[in-house]
Amino acid sequence: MTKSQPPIRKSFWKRKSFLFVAIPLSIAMVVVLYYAGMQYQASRRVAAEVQRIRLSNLPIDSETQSQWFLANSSKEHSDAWAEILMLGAAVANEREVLDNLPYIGNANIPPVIDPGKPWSNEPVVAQWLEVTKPLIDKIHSVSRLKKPTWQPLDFQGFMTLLEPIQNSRNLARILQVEVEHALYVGDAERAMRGLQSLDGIAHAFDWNICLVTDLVGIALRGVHFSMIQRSLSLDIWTDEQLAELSSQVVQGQDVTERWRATIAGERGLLLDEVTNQGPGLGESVGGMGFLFSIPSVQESLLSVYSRIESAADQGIDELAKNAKEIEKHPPFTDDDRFSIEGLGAGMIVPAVQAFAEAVIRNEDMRRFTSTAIGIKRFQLANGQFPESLDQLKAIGMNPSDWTTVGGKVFGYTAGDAAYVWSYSFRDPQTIAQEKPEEDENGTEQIVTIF
Amino acid sequence: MNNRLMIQRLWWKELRQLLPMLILLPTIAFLLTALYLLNDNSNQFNWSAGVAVFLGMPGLFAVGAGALLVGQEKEMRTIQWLASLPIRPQTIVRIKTAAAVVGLAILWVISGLYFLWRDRYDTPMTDIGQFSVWPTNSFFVLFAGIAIAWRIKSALVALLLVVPIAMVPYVLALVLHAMMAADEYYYTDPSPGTVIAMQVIGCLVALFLVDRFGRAALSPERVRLGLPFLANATNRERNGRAAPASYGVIQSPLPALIWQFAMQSRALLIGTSIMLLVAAAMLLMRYASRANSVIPFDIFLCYLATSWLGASVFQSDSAHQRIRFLADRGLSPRLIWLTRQIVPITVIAAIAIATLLLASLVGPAGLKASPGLGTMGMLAIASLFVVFSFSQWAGQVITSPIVSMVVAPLVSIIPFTAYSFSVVTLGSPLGLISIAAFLPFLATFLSTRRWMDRRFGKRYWFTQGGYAAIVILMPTFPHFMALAFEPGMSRQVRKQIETVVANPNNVLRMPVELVLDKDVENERPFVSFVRTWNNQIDSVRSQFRATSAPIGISSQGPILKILAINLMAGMSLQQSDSAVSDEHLDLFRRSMELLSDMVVRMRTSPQVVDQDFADSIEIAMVRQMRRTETRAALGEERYKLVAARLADTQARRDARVRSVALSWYNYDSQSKFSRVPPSQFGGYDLQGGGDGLSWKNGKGLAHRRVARRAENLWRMADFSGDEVPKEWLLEVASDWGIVSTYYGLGSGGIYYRVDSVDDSIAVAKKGSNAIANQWYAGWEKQARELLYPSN
Repeated sequence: MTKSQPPIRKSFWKRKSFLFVAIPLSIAMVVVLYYAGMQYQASRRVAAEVQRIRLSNLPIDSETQSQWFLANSSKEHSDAWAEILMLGAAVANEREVLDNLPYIGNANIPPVIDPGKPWSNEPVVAQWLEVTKPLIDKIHSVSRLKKPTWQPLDFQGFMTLLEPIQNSRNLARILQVEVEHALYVGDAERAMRGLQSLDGIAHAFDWNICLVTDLVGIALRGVHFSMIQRSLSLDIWTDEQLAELSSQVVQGQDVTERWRATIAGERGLLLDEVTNQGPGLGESVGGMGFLFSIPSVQESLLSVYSRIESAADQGIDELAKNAKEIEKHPPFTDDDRFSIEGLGAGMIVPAVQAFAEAVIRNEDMRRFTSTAIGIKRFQLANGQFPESLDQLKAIGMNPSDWTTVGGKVFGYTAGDAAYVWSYSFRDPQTIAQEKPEEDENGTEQIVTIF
Repeated sequence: MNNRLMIQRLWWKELRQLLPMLILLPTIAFLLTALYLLNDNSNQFNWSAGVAVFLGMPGLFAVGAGALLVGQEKEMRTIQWLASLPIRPQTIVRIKTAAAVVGLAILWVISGLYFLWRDRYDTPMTDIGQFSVWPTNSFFVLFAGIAIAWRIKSALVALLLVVPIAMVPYVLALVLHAMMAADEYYYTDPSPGTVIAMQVIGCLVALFLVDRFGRAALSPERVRLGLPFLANATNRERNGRAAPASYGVIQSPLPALIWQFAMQSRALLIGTSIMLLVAAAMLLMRYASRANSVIPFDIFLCYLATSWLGASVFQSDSAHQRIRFLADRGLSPRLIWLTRQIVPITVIAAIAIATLLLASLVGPAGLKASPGLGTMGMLAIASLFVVFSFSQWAGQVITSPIVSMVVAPLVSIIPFTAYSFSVVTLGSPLGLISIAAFLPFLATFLSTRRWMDRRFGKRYWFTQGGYAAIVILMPTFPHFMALAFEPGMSRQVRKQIETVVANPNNVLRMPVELVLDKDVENERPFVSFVRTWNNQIDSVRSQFRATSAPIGISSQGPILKILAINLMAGMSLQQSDSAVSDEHLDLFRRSMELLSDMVVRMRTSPQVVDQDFADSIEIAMVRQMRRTETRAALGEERYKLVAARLADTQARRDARVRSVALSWYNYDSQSKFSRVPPSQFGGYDLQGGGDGLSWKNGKGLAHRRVARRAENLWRMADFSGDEVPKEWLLEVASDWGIVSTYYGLGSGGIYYRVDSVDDSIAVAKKGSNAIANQWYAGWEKQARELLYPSN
């Protein structure tokens, strides 16, 4: 009888060869499910964050942006401002204006106003101011309100046209001509009205809705400060008028609050662009805009803004440092150069430090102007200029008023006239020990006080 | 048969063998280029597109030619027949080599023609240094591929081995450069001259090996005999391990088929796995070192390996007709399909996931885990599976293993170009794209039975054609559905518009442009600004009277200036200084008269945008006219004339109706004679909007949507009630993508749509985008009240 052979079993790894595919595929499935789960959680966190932003009445899309702007501005005199903006653009666009007027046109601006020296363009300037007097008077009448004025804006993410605020610079230039001429002819009342209106324009277009509007607001404020500084080179102000000027340069809204509002507005524009896959996004990232619909990418964007938003929480003194830190180590772009999240961070981060510097420069300029006014007030009160800036304590000023945000004291010297100077725009880190020379390009900040 | 005839026939046979690749490769290359041009008109001569396709095409041919000419002969066992012919082996070898060279030269000529054509339309390519090595490299790869094919039994293995050998001249050039370069040039790449020199040397060596291996392969086979005592020992060992003639325990076919596939494709699986692992390692190192390479070799390697794995799904069974063995035993096609797919998918998934986990968790070379890495990893893996999907389909459709391995990489680029066109241009939803990208799996699943039975008749090819059409066209379905079902303009409205257009008084005459300070060459010396303004009024008026043509928004500069003069003069009238007021009074009267005349002329314009601009001017005029001092300033006669014109709602209505009709007529006419649909309607840009209109929609759909917009505008223009229904305003707003606030709806709406000139921002705006937003608003009633005051 033949001995039956036991059944031959093939080796385990031949019988169970499907395990060689099942195990790796199972692991792969787990990993995919894990990442899918991460995306799901990210989407929930994004939704929660968006809800939090909505409940804080901050903008998240074009509709909420529009409502936010409406809530934070005044409709009083909106129609008048609209008319003023339109007229301001029209009257500045003349050949004679461009040839003969400073600030608006290409005529030279003398370093200091000297009524003793002839001003060759003065007759044309005077005539122009006469013919635009109704416009200027209208500006005077509406700029008393000192509130942001509402203007119709079509919010469309990055493509939002900000025509009114761009045209507001025209109005500032018109008033610069008005103030310049008033100072030249020695009309202090008229000059003061002009400066008050410059202050009013800065308030009216102090639209805290995004970086661009804030920067224009800073520019308008800079124009105002520069004309005040210029006026101090003439001995025309009374003490009451100097007090009025001091009140114009008092610090406005808290820096932390302003910064947060601006970044919130900027975030609203970006989120609107990302949600609607707008043309602005296409210009920035090409055809990769669809990547911003990935929840983790959206979460990273919100995280970037959250970090930038808090840059000014410790006050203006830490703002520069924090902004520099953000720019030096931008989130999501540090170690992984090709990170998709880095795309979003790359769109906002480069602007942060520049904006922070503009805010700080504006504050420095405010303090500088305030110091210059204080010196003149001291002189009127005591019959002579202070020997040092420390003596300004006598008129109620603090040492922080004559110190930059970076902690540098303004330069000062006095004799027949007083000179106070700040840092050059070429080198913001240094304030010269000696009075620097004036230059044609206006890079040196020097105020001459008579 | 004489020798010459035999050689001719041999030439013809070799060239015919290459014909499928010579046809397929350029065809796919041109198809990809056409898709790319269709996709991105603004960048149609992008250099990278040319590199990817028209340099890759000869490269792919060079890789596959050897396997096709020699390896396929070995697999089909015709090599012995060739060897038996009365032709010298070296003649056969040389003819094969020469045929391959001719084929490669033809493809280079085609590539060259493309670059010549491209250079006509763009700046000549100057930065070609790094790509000058490519032609010689392709010839080196060709000769090396033929040499390897002669030496190696398996055509697929020969194909795989070409990839590392292609790098040999570059590596040698690197070594030579490292040895010979001065210190300051040590870290630069070797010059193209050095690389080409190495490639030429490589070509010569490869040609020598071609000759040697070819002759050896065509010569009679040499049998080696082992030593007798060793042979006996081997036999004893074999006998001792003799397995009984038993099949063992019956096991399920699934693991058996998986095992069978893995075994028969082990060379390819191992080769491609090595390629993927090398690519993964290079990718991780590149990220860690932040190196920037012009050609991302790691990505290319990954893509090539995935494509070949895809092609191998069905081709490993096609080789030697292995699939017939399985088909004859009645195995389920579904099981065959599953077991063929699962192993390559496992290889790709395992290596990809392992790389991702390595990068995320272990963090080699300083890489840190980040959500971004996970997102990019998942997207990359998804892309690989799209490549795999199309490659496995190509592997089933193309019967020749070698041709499919060569063509599959090019075929797998098609979905990326086609689908990006669908997403970017046609706005196809991403979900539909995802479904379409994985439909090739379904195509192969359903075709497996026929493929197994080798029934490649007409029905098979038509079916595959159908699948191809569905896969490529599926993302376009929403677009075509919209084309089929979206309503256009109703017949009734079309007839009404045609009636208006047919009226001989309604002429399509485009507006002329007025210019401020036209006679600038006759420079008058400056006297005063008031005089300047008067001169400007004169200048504009004389241009205005010199023509009877319509005017419109193209003249907005001068018109807004006249309006500004009017407003400034009006404000001056309120000044107390009477010496100034006479000049300003004159200015006010003249500017108001001119404005009124210009608005009447604007109403004759055939463009909707000009009607809206006229509305904004009239709104500003109504506001001026309502001021108490205006009547006295203008005088009764002048006041009544201006008021009558402002109060003439019927004239405004007729102008709007005419402008919509003529704008549609203009659009329709331009659309008929242009390949590209016009981008404007009535002076308004058509892009965007709630109906998804984009100029890239295609002429048919764009025309349909514009017609719909025109109908909604027509309905509003033809309105004759008290208040325009809100739904109509909403529809127009939605059509044109304008926020409904501009049409007076919602919070803040009253400031945009002027129902009262006192409450709204009633200032003429340059080029507002809100088409028709002031039509029949409350300001028109206030305009009527100028003439007919309500009690």
